[in-house]
Amino acid sequence: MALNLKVEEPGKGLVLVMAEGEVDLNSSPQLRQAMAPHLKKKMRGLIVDLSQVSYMDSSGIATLVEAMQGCQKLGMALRLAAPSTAVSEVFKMAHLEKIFEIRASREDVLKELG
Amino acid sequence: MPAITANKKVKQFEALLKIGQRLSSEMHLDRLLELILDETTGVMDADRSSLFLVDQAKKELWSKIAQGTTEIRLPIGKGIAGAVAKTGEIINIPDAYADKRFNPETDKRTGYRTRSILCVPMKNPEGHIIGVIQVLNKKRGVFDASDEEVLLALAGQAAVAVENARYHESALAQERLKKDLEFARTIQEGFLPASFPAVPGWEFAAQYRAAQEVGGDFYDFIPLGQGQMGVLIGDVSGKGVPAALFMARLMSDFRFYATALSSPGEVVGRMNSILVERSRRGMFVTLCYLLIDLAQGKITVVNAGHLAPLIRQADGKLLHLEGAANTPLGILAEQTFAEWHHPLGAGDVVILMTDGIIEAMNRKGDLFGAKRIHRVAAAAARSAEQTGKSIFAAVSRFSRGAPQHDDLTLICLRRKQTGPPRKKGGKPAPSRTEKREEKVSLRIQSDPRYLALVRRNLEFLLAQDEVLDQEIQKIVLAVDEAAANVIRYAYSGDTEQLMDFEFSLSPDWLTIAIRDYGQKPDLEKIKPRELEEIRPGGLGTRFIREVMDEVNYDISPPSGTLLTMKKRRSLLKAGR
Repeated sequence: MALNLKVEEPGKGLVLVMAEGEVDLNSSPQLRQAMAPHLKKKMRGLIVDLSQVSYMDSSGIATLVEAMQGCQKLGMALRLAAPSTAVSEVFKMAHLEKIFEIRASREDVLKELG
Repeated sequence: MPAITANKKVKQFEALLKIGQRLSSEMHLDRLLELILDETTGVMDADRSSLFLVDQAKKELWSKIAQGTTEIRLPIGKGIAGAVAKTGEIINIPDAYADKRFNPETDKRTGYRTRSILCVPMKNPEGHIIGVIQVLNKKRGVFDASDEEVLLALAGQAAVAVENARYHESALAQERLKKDLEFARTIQEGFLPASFPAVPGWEFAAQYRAAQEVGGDFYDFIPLGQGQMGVLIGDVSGKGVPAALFMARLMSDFRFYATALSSPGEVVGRMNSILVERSRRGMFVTLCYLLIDLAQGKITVVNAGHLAPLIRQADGKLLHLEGAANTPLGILAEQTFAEWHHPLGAGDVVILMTDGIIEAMNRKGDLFGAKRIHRVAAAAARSAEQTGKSIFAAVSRFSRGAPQHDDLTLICLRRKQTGPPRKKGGKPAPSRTEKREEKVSLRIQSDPRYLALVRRNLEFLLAQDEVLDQEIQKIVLAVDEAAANVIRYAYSGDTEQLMDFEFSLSPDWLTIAIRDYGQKPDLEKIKPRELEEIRPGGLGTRFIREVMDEVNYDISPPSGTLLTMKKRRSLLKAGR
């Protein structure tokens, strides 16, 4: 199954990665590559919209954890926006739902990061 | 009338008669047009002539230049020729440059010097203007009234000759097409089975009707020895002779590989590789292949983009084998084809068809559709032959009066009732509870891009039996995790190795087996980890053990590992 990624700039210093499809061992490197350029310099925030992700496995989670660690090092915010049911369930199963900063919607994130 | 003029006139009409005869014997349009121009120039004693034909659709006049292939096109109404075509009136211009209607552009371009012009309409016997003949530069003097008469008569004969030639060409084209279709049909029919296999305990029947344009349907019964039979149905994209030839070759290749290779998934995979190389102009093939274990009544299905097999069970229930759906053949190289194992009960009828049946149209443009097929199949009599005939008859009735655009192919096969017949008035013979086990097996390369295929097949299997969505997700994740571990650790990321999956659903258990042939795991390392350790890499073996009831790593085979995971079905349904 394909993974489609779109990268936007919804505001100054903010990058939003929109993922659509399945994130598995095959496609998670794509997600990683989409986020990597924005983890080099401190910005205001990196947002990942997970509302259209129909499947995510441990490699997908690992990619997000890696991004989170990268953001922490730079003192940058990482927000996961509107995770689909599939993604929320996987976070729960991996006991990682408390580790990430998850918000109910894109708009909430944009309001928060101003 | 002066004697010279009268004489000339007679001579001209004599010439016309002869020309008429010559024209009517030329059936080839291009040659005819050339002939007309040569004769015209001669008879009119002019320097050159041109002929324009009317293109009704585009409202244009067009003319082929004799020596070249460049066309001249003029809108009807424009210029002298255009005016004649529109009005049907003769235009006779003795001095071109003195006449406003004359456009000197062509002269400027070609270096010719036009002096006199005579232009007449070509009218067919019904009086319709089908073209225009124009002669330039009468050699001696200018064009006079008698010239007009002669040219008009010549133009009339030319009109008849042109229409005849056109009709002839279209008749020839139709004849060629008919011959092509007959040839294609002969090829097709030569390759399709002449009869149905007669096997004790089984019944095979097929219905087939070719489309008017000869579509690309095919089917075959392949006896394989050792109590096995192969049944194939498929559809080549495309029509006519190329599709028929493609199909013929495919069928003979398929037979070969079906007999040579033991796994149906491999057979279809091999055919796919061949077709990807061979496929021209994007021809592709959908097919469904069944390997039947005649003694045990099990079928192994490989479906490459084709309609899912329909099974009418002995109790009347209809079942679609939607699982193990793969892509059609001839598109992507190196495709893996999943096999779906299904046990047939006594009295079950398997129905295979091509989309000509589902998409058969009636005169109103409605499609026959899956619902109608289900209705007819459910109501039909027990035997495979009757079932097939009922469906076919229903489709025929439905589509009566509408042209048949696609081949219709239908195969029905039935596993006959086994066991002793009931004694009249006595107790029914004890029935054996048949252990129905649904199974899917899949062999893939150790490439992450096949994981999605594995997940899909597992989802189909689980969806068959009311397993709760949440449970499906957990199980799929567990299997995905285990498979990813094989790729990562047993094969260290090598994507060219083999992995075998088997998913089976027995009355009490869901069993998942994953076999690899790589490095064996260190059993100490895969023991469940502590909860607090958040390893980026997420779920781990602890998760697998949480989801499944039994997990066993068998490292005893000479190479690699057999991982078996089991989950109790009663708990699946109750939702744990």
